[in-house]
Amino acid sequence: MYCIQSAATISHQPSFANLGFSSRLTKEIESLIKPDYKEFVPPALIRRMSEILRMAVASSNLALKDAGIEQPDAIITGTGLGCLYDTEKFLNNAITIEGGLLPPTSFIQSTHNTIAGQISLVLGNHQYNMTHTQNSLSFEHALLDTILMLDEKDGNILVGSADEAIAALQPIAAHFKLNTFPLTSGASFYVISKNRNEKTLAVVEACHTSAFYSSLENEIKEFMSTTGNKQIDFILNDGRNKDVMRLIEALFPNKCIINYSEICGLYTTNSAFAMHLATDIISNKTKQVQGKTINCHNRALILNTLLPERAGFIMIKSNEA
Amino acid sequence: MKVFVTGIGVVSAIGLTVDENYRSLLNKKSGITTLQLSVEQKSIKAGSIAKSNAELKQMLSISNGYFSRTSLLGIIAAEQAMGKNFHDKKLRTGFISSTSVGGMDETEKYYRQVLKNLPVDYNLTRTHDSGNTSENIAAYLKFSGYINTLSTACSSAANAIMLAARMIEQGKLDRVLVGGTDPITDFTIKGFQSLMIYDDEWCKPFDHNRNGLNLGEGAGFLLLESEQSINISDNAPICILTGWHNAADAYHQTASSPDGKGATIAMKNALNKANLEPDEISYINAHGTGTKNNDLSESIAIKNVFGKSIPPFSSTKAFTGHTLAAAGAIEAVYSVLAIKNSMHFSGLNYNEPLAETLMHPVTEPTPALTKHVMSNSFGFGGNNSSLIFSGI
Repeated sequence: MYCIQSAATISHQPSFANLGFSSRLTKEIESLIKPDYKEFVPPALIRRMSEILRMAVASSNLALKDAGIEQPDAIITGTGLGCLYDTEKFLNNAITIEGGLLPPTSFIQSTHNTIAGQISLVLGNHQYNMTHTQNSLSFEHALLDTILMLDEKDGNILVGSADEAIAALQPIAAHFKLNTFPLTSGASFYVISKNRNEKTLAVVEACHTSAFYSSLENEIKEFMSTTGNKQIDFILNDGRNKDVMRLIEALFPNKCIINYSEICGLYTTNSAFAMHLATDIISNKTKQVQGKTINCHNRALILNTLLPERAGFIMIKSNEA
Repeated sequence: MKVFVTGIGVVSAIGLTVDENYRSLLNKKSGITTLQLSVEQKSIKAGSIAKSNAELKQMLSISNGYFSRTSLLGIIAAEQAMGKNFHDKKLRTGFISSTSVGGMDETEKYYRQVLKNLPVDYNLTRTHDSGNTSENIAAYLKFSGYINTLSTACSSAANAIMLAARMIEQGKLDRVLVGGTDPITDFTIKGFQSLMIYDDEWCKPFDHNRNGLNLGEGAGFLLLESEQSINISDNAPICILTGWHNAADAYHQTASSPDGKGATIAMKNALNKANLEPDEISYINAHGTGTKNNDLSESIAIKNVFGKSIPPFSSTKAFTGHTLAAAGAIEAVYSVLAIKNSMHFSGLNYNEPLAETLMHPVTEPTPALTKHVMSNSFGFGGNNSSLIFSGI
């Protein structure tokens, strides 16, 4: 039993500090929301932080606050591409400036674990601090680590992910035709523990990843069977591949299928947004999403097939189910 | 549940195989040389591997496709660790790698094309992300299923090994091929130069007059198996991974705390996990980068944990250079070799102890009964990890 005690997401939807946001989604993908960062990030640090760090520190701060936790027992993050803004900035300096010393800040902030490291610094937290970076499955791997840790010992785990879009990605995405949805940024953080209580928004029942499989259909069937062939009420899929959407329709007939990249845009850890969206739909019993009707709010499957031959599965259920 | 080490592989500046690495360690032969990256740049000291990407591809019979140097080095070490093992449906086998820069070496080529307004080869960017680095290694060795990458700067591979052990201990996987890989890139060299911790001369870990680190490149991999797995694979265990812990220092973005708090927590809890008293550790393969800050902080942390009876310790980074994410795996392989051969490896370039701690590292390879070895890896952002390997 892995209970989602809080969820906080900074995205291109009104997902931050907004319970029930799933019923208030904007039709178009608007610009990235900008909370008053001073409320969530030590003001002295904001100036030096890139967007990805601000998003991550602010959403982790809100997730802890909402769960009523001061110090998490672990900080586990996922990021597909890491701190791109600082990476590009330092790369540019390294290539263009010959001789003399370069300013180190962007190098320091370019490493993938800057995100989890910054969170531990802000909190003064000495616990397990981990960064998973497995492309489109980075968030699922962070969640798997969370489950592993909760199986080892009880605790409140801060788990989340962050990715940021930078201009330099556009031509690359265009070349590989990855721009069917706008390239966006996002950070989602959760407090997950084994204690089911009145704060529990939803419960993670299972998480699984698979790479280099021969048949997605078999992978889905196997996941469903190992988790006990439970009744799924609605499915969230990244929506990039029409064949996958058709396969889901065939395997889960008459179920509502939500295309989450259409809602939050494209970034490598947007399945973390999807988990927040599913959590909110379940806890708020939202009936209409993307013009589709959801009648039953017991159980959702988030199927992440953003990249071919790589699948992430997250199954969550309502606290009452 | 015990976690057995049954396979090891390493490629570094001191050798392309485990045997070559071992011989270099015994002969005190450093792989750090003077390197000229480009005509515009001044020469540096670094532990590079004297094989071009084309030569590495040839060694691996890779004729086409885009591979970062990170993946190529990783494949060499991973293939050695996998040995003659083959995929078996009865064994749930995972693959966990780690890297700090992923395919930055290829991204640099792409970015230079962009800046010079040259025709760009977009395929170079396909290998940028760390996940791709691992997937290329995994695909080469025909892995499927659980494939993951950790990136926590210089402690990455130690954390990967820890994650693999936890997965096995919890029965989620039967065996894991796990390690780390990083190449030398302009990005990291200039990065450490910008921090003013890159020594223009040979690095001097644990020496009073140390003046920074030298970078290196390489990869290390280990095959970890559960008891049930070795019953099926019939592999002979080399040693057991008995202890591990990761803790955040939460002191500074790059610097280690003066009291070595995170490192102390990591070492103490690794000992607890292994159910060992400090005086049972035979040898410590220290992080020992040769920077003023790391070596002092680590020495203080070692004192915090071991008190007056400090075990023989050394840093092998003066042999290999600091191989960043790969360091934890390369040094895990050296720790396994220390147990297997009853040998404490030495450091290099050491003359006088730190005035603050007066601790003397091992200066000559020393045959000695070696039952338990601690391996430390500390990364940027205060990411501190300790592993303990134990004889059978």
